Amino acid sequence: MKCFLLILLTIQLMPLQAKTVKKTQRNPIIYKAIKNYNNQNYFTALDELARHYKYKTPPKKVQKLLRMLVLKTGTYYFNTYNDLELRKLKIPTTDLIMAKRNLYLKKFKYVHKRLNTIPVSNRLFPEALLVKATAYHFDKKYKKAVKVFNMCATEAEKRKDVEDKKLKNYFSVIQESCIINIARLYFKQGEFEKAIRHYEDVPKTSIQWPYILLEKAWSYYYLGNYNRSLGLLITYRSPLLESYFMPEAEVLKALNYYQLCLYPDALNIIDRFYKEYKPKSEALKKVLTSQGEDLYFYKLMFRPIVETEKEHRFLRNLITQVNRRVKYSLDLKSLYSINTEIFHDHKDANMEKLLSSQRDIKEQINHYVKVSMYKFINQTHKLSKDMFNLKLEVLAKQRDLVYKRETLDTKRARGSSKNVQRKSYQEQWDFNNAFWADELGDYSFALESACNVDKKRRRR
Amino acid sequence: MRIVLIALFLFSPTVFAKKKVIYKYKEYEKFDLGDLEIKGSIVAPGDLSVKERRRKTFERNLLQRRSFDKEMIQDIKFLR
Repeated sequence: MKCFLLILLTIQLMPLQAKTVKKTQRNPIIYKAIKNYNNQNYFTALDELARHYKYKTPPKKVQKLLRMLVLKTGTYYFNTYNDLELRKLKIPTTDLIMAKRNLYLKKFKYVHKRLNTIPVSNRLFPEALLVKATAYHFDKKYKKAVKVFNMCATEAEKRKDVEDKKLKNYFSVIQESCIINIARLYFKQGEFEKAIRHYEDVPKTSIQWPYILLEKAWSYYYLGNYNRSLGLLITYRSPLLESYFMPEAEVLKALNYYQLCLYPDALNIIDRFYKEYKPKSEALKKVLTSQGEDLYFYKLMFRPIVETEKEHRFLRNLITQVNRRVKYSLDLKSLYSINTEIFHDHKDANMEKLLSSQRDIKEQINHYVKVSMYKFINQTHKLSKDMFNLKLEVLAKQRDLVYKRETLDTKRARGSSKNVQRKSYQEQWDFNNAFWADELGDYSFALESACNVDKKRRRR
Repeated sequence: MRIVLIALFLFSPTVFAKKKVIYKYKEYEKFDLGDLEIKGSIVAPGDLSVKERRRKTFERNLLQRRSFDKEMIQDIKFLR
């Protein structure tokens, strides 16, 4: 009986399948796209299909083909499409692009509407969850945000077991971003202990780990654990993290010393910022603004390290930072795919489109690198104002001490291990002027606060 | 009654007339400053003293970090 029913169903479906195939074969655009896909002319095929289905929903089969093509080309192709052109395509890539655009515009309702269409089985699902949870966070729905961030971390971890190194890296970044965002959410709510616990879940081997050191240091700062905050920030002085220069870390260092009433130390950090980093940032600005060469920043990424280091040390450090970002590697992957197609030089390939796409993606990389570098310069400039304010505050405190005929205790010990706050699982080792990789990020200072002795020692 | 009215009428110019005032100044006056003497006691402190007043405290905005919202958006932008 069962067998009979199955045969009957197959017979009934057969004409429908044949009809779909016929329709596809009849449509020359789809036929040509499939042919181009088989001939590895992925960009040509994507361009033909995307242009044809700009304002209309493609059939399921074409949607599947588009998904397969995007896997080969990357999503960059759709960056220039507006929402009206994208909304009918109804493929996860375009839905994700639109959801992100709505997130930046704070139109949260549309973010969810777009993301709900992305299936669990899709490769972009963890990224969609990241965007969804971020939307909840900005919408102040914190409980939902934590739940979705956790889901995102789990889904990304499930997909990490892939051979492709870049894909593996991509899922690792998604997983870590979701964990970090939970920490950031708790930080925003003032739950710094919880935030620290989540920051600690990010492995030290992660490419995002150097960046979260600063965020963790802020959490300790607000908890009043200035020694631990300083310890975290000193990690940036290790040779392994030389490329990660964070101007904000210098301000936080000075703030920590200020809170401990160690005014000469705070002034020392502030002076070093002005003498060392600010001129370097200005020199870097000069180097960058003096370049009139076409695609200068794009070309900079491919120059030998020795050459860029000679030009400016910070330049090399910034290049290293940009090099490690997912966006850069995905854009580069797309560029290599285009180059392969150009080199392949198939007779059906749309060479004009390929060359313009190649130029387009180079310009995108050039712009991205340029923005990253200028962001660094602008940040240094902005923070120098904060440093100036802090300097005035430190000087005011010192002046008040003189006017009140008070003095800080100079005879006290500089530090003692009793000033180190430790958790039960934390061990204590002495620092002997060597940064061991496994110790990075676990340092703590042992400075004694000078604030408590202010009023006791009146001069007679 | 008539007599009173007549008397008033006759004496009114002398009653309401303004007196002519003549001012006269001293032609010479001498002060001997060395011979002046002030009687009393000193109440001010002998040495210089300044009363302590509350100093104006300027509130400067030190760098604060309330959230990492910008970083959250940046992370998404840096993905693709």
